[in-house]
Amino acid sequence: MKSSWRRELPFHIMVWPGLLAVLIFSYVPMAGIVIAFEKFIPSKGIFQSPWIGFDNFRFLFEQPDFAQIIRNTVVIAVAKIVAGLVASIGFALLLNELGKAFFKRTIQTLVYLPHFLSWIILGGILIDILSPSEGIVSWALGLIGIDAPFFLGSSSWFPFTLVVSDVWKEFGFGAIVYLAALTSIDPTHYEAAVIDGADRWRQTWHVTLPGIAPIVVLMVTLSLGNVLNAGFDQVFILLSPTVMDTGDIIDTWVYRMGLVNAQYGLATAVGLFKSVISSILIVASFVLASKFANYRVF
Amino acid sequence: MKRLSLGRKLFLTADYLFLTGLAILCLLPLVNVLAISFSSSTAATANLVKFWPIDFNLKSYTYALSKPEFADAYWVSFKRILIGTPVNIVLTLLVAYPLSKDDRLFRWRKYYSWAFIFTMLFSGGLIPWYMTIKTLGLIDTFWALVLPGAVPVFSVILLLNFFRGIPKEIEEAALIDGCSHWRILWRIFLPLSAPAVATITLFALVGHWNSWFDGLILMNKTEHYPLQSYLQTLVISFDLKIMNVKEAELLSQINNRTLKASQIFLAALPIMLTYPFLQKYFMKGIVMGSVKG
Amino acid sequence: MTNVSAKKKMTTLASLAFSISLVFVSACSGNNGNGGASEAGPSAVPSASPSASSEAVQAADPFEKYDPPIEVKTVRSTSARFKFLDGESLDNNAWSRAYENELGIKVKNVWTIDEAQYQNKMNVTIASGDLPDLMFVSPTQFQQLLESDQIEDLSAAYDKYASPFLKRIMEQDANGLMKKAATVDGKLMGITGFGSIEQGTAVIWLRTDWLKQANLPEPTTFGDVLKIAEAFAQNHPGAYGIGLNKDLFGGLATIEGIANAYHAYPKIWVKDDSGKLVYGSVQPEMKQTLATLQDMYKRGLIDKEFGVKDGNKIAEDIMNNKIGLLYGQFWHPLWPLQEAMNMNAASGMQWKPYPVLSADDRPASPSTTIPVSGYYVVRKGFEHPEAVVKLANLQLKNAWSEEAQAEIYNTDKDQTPFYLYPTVSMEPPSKNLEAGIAVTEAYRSKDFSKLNEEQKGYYDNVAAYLDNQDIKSFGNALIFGPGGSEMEVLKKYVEGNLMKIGEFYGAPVPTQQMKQATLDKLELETFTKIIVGESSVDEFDSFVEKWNKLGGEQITNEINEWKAAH
Repeated sequence: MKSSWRRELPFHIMVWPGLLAVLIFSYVPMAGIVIAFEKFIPSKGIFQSPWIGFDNFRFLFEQPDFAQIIRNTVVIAVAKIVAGLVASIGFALLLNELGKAFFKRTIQTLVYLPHFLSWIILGGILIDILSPSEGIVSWALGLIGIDAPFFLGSSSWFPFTLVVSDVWKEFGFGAIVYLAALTSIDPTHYEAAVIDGADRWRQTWHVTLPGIAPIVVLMVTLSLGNVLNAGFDQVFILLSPTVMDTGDIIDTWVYRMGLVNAQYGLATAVGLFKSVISSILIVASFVLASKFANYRVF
Repeated sequence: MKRLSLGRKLFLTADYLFLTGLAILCLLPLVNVLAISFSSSTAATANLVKFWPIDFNLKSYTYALSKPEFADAYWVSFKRILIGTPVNIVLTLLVAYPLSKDDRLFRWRKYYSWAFIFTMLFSGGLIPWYMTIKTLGLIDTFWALVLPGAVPVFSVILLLNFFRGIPKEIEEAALIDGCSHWRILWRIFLPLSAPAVATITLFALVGHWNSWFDGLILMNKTEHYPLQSYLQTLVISFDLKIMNVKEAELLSQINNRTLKASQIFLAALPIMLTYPFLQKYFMKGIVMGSVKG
Repeated sequence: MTNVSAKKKMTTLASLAFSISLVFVSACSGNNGNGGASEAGPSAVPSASPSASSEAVQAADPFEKYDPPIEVKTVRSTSARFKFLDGESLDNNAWSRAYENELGIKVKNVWTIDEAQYQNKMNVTIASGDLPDLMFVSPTQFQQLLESDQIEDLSAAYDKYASPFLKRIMEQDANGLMKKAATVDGKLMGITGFGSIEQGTAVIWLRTDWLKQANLPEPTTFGDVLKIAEAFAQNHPGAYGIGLNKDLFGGLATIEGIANAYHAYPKIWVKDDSGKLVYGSVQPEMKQTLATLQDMYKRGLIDKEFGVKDGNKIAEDIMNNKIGLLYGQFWHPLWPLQEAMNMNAASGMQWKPYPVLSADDRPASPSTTIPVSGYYVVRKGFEHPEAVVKLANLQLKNAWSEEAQAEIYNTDKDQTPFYLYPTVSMEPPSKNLEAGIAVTEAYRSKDFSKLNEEQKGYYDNVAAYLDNQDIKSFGNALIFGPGGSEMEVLKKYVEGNLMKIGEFYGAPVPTQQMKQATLDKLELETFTKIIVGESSVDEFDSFVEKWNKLGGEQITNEINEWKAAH
């Protein structure tokens, strides 16, 4: 079997530079995860700070609003993931149907622009347009006879507002991957379908969707890694006391803890907690895709 | 196949209209921000500016551009893009290619694969990251902006999936012809994955251009800041709780809103414009027929 | 949807960054827990004569020059406010030259960083064991460095080298709080960074043109304030009776002044009748305050959407003639009132400040805190700890003493901020109040010869605004001139010894580190819900219970332990 080593050697060599980079810049710092189990004091350093075992985690779980925070985080994050995927994929598909290249390119460029606006700016804009008394959205809703709710001030509407505005901001950028996937579909598959008499709808069903399915599954799997990242920047800007019960997420909570004291131990513990959950989900998704769809996500 | 059914025509019209509306919706806030950047500070603070500048002036732009630090920072970011992006892409290609192979052809594949994925999931946080970079002597150097993020694992996974979509026969034919894997990667896989490579290039570009936190923390001197780090410092962050007179004076002089707005444009403009250039790679389909033949 | 790992890292790093950055800033605002009795009121406007030094230590020349020169490594936080003359920089300017020429000290800035990230950078620096010789640290970092014995005892250096001016500021001004705050077990461990006590108080800002229109007299009680709010809301459709921001506290359009009307002192630690320090927000007087606020909201005197409005939005409302009455701080004429005047002076907009007014017959005490922003410390083992004392001496001499050359060291006609450059920066705590008094006196007598450079600048503004209606000078005029916040409000507070000063200025006590954030959230949520009417006022009682149970009681005990030791 000597020849298989020789055959595989180029593969190993190709991987090694990247592996080295990752070893140095990701694995070495990972040793610092021990901070999650310490009462970290900067002047004592990483390995001399007092060890407190799971106290940071216990502290997190014993928070009176822990359940609320977790629930909010998961609800908002999952809604964003699902809505985001649907919007990006839907947009990519709709755009793909069109013929005029110039139009397509223009639309593509325009819809990916909001990605570059920070929430600091967008937050102010949102507060304005969603104001029940003066906002343009409320005015528009009023035209069709709907009494506009207080989107940003009411607990029941706040998560919805977060999700919709975030999807609007990111769908264009998120669609890039799917647009790439769509152009990678072998045109001969379409030709074959046409020959078989399929109209555009059947083509979409039998060629397009299966064609991008691997990428979709991939993106879903990787998105699971974000199930506890509800979007600090956005929530921080838009959060207000009246919507705390549905809007407060893990990251805003950690932030407020840091206002009183630099809580590296706690922040690292929260990070570790998130990592563990994400890993479990990603591994589960990987295994499911592998077993049931015979598809190796990576 | 030229004759379109009525249903199809209706659908296409609706599609065009819908997407146009969507695009306008996405454009409006940007127009608003642009208008603010050209408006007077008073009008901006009073939030009177909608889609057209009030009291048109170029003060916020001249303020931002007049500082020599701005040119320095632009240059740092430019260098970063020039060096960092190819580094990312090369490493991504190099890692994605072997990882896209079958487990039977590359027996250690899945260990490597998980080794990379793991780094996406776990992190030691700010302090260990900083200390590692410091131990390597990279603090306050240009390479601190390029090396730590050298392997974008997400892009690796993306690319390896695209690689898997390339028919195996092509590779086998090339191997039979005596091609080394290196040639196969650069001469065959790279051109055939143009849309994917364009995508990861865009991600690398945007990532390097937009990143600001690493520049702030890892650089000791402000002359070494990349653009976004520098622009972060232009906006006075203040706590309204306790101010002294001098700070309050500056609040009105350097108005946050017009400055923030022009900051967005100065920084985002180059990157917003690169996408159209990359788009031609998204338009090409893979011409497989000739290869198959 | 870019790189997931980058995003993840960004979230962690960015949220850490945010969390740490505001520790510094909020520390600037004088710390979360404060306790106070008004017995510790600051001295009335301090005189310029130095006190005789009490120790029989052989004092040395406070400006003794090092020969050969020494190098002091330090780190700096900077910001967009820093401007330099052509060819100059943080390492090369009037101050750096003064340090070298007069003291023989070469200051080396190892790193500089934007103030928002200063705390983060400071922490990684400390964590990597790389302490600079001299640095400015937050109260928490001060505590940590003390515990790990990494900073130098400055007692001997201070006794030997402190100039009379420095001693006066540390030991006399603000009742000697500066020295006290930095003294641990009888040893001076740092030079205190200190703001001004009276500047943290609430000030009523009122539109006098609206007041005239409503035909109402100037307010002397809180009841008058309510009447004015009603009139404003009625006479100006679309406007609010009184401004209120979503955080309820903190600067612009707050409820602190209203609480003070009922003798409630939220957010600070004050002495109760037994002499114990208690937290102001959970005292019974707060309930009355909330009841009034709830009523005001119900009657439409408060913006129904205040819950989503931050300082910027309030500024907008002020500029758009929607707010004519609010509780704020002394510096608002510069922002946002200046902008508002720029826009509306032509249509008659006018503002005047008033002190907080009482709802009953006892005079109201405005609440404020002890503004310890941090400490200048020297790392343990540095051979020249007295360098920090000498740097402080020089800065005080060149910027604030009778020998000061303000146009070189403070600010020039173009407003170049030289005063930002010094490595160690001290300011007489009441310098603004002194300025207000001096400038107003000079304006009255038309004799500005006694004013220093900075004060003369304010004098020019006052003259320009009052005599020539130069709107651009409104800001400083309404702070330092007659009818301005220093004279009309802050002076009254100081001379009448009216302030209720929060007494806690240390690093957060252990239970605070764990629970403060939760307690604050609970407080803000409860108060807001009561104000908008979602909860009844009696919710306050269950809030107090919950607050105590969730850690408030423990914190109270720990704060009192701290008090006993200080």
